[in-house]
Amino acid sequence: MAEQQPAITLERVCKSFGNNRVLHEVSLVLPAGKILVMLGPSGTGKSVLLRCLVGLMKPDSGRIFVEGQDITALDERRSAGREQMFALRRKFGMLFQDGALFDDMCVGDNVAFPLRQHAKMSERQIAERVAEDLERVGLKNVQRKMPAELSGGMRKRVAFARAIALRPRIVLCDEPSSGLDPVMSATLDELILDLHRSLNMTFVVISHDTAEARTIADYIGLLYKGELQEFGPKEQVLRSSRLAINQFFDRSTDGPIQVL
Amino acid sequence: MEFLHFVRRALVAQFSGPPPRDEFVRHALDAGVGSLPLLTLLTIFAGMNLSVQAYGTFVRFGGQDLLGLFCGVGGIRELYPVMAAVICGARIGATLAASLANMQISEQVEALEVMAVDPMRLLVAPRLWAVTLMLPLLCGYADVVGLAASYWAATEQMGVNGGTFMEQVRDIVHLSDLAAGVFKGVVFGWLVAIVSCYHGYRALKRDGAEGVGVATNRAIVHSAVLCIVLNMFLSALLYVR
Amino acid sequence: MLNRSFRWFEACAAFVEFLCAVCRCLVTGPRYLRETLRVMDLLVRRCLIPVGLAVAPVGAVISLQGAGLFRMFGAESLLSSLLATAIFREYSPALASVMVAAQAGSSIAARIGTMKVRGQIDALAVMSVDPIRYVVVPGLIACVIVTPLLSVLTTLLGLVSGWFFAVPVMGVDHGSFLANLYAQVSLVDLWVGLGKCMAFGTAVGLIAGFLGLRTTGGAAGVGKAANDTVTMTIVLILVADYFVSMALLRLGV
Repeated sequence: MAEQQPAITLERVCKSFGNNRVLHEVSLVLPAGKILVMLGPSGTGKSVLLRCLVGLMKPDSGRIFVEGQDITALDERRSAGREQMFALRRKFGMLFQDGALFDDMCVGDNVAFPLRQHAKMSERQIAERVAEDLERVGLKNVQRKMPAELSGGMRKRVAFARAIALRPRIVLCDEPSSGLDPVMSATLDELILDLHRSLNMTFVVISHDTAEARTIADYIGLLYKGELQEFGPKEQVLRSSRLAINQFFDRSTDGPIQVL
Repeated sequence: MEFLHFVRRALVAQFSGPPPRDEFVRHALDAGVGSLPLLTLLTIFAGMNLSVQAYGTFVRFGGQDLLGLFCGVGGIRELYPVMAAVICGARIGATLAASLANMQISEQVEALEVMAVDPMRLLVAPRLWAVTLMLPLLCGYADVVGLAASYWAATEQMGVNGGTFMEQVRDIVHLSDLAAGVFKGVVFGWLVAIVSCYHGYRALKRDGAEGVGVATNRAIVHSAVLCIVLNMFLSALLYVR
Repeated sequence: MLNRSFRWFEACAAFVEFLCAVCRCLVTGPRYLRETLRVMDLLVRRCLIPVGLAVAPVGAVISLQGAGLFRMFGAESLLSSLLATAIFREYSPALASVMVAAQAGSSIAARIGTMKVRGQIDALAVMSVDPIRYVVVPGLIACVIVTPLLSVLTTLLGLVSGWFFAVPVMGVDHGSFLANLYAQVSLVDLWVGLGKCMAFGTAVGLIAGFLGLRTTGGAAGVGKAANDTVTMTIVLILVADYFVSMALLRLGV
């Protein structure tokens, strides 16, 4: 029964900062084990959506269910709510835009960090897992290096290894291809597909790269001006006659999406 | 208001179990041992200053023989604790604020939250403990170094009788004064740490490098001012009978 | 070790070079007067409260501890003389400068450091605007002028708070407090105080500009620049203060 439960359900989620409406009545259902690519021009609330999913931000109204559990009902100011929130977050792994590696730890310690905090594993098991995950993202013998010594692409891959170290059920990626050359971002896309196949995780990927959406997505969403313009399985969305979607995939300046 | 909320969360984190050991040791070493060269240099000069300036002032009243009294009272009760606090406010506080602000703007704090680790427990609590415990030690150290420097300047440069000087210091400075100095150190240490952590923690991602600068600046200024002002109240409380 | 001493040597050379560039900018135009005034205005507004808050308690503490001391010898009336000399000559300039270093120094260094890591300094150079002339010199001039001004204010504040804690709180006689206040202060003390302030202000402006321009290593580097500026200037102020006091004492002024 648990297998049929959707990974993420959003019900009319709204969020604004002052008068600035960032998310407006966003609703969607993402089945478990699928890859969702959320597209949209910069500054349309994609990052906010991601942060609402892990409870880093609280929506003004609407509800968010993660594997059936309502995270908007948790009150982080109460210690019980905080405990539950933390328990829930263990289902997540997150790849931050610039990696967010801890500067004062070496690569190995960075990847081992979530394991040391949460998993009851011996140091040897941890070291094995760290090596395994680093190899999975195509890095070998970098455990002793400091994050500052790595290139942007390597940093992102290390961050990826850290995000999946605890074998989370859902992995969130914030602009995985931003600031990378095309070859490196293609490598990262393959990595996502590979991990998805081998570990059967649900992915939510934030991007403005339509090529990325075509390659990896099972589901595509388009967010513009805080509203979910389009959402559905990839084939259906790509066949859509909606202007906004066509404009985005055709890279055209002519259409409903206007640069202000 | 926001600050009080932060203080509440920090206190909860600080007193809910021992802080993570590695982080604590690292920050204690950095705050304590790392401040030693600077503090030594500064207290030597401050102590000599105290002697020279007091001598210059007292000579006008013909009271140069009272130098020991003044150096004892002025130095041990007031100057050295405040100086240790202000110097550490500048050095340790700025380092704390800059490191936390840097973690905030590069999303490392959010990364911790996503990994279900409470940043207050992992980042703030060990810093609070480290500075609160190290600053009183630094105060005690500054007392010794500063007094020695005052003594040297008074006897070697001003020609004051060394025996009289030490006798006066022993007369006026009681064990309770030293204890009061250490107590001040504890209070200042906690204050420097909490103020600096607050400003560092409050930096936002969109502020970028500027946010780190602002946090550092505020941490330095606010902790220095708070320590000096609080010192007045503590002195009034401890010494006015 | 060799590497380290070499880097130290390199920093010294860079500082001398920086100093020459600053001097060149000071004697030749163009001068960015408007920018200088803007920085001055900013500094006064930012420093006023911290400096005031830092100096007022010192007057209070001198009165608190001094009253007890002098009472032991029945010389309470001398308290105000001690207060006035200490504040005019020593504490007001030193503390005003330390607080200017903390507030203005760190914010100038942080601002220049931010510009550096964001590439704005290079952008200025590409637009053939000398960064030293445009961002360092205005801050330097502002520091030199603002520090003595603030010191005048802090002197007043220190005396007022000293009076408050001596007369109403510790019960020293109001008449004798005022009568002895200026007994030992001469015009020389005032000038020495102001002169120190200008010298310390120069140090703050120079060090902040130098370390700000040398910032490397992104956001963390900005914090380090601000931090180093403050510690270095405080060291410099205390060390210089000692030698000035010593020299004055020898000269018998």
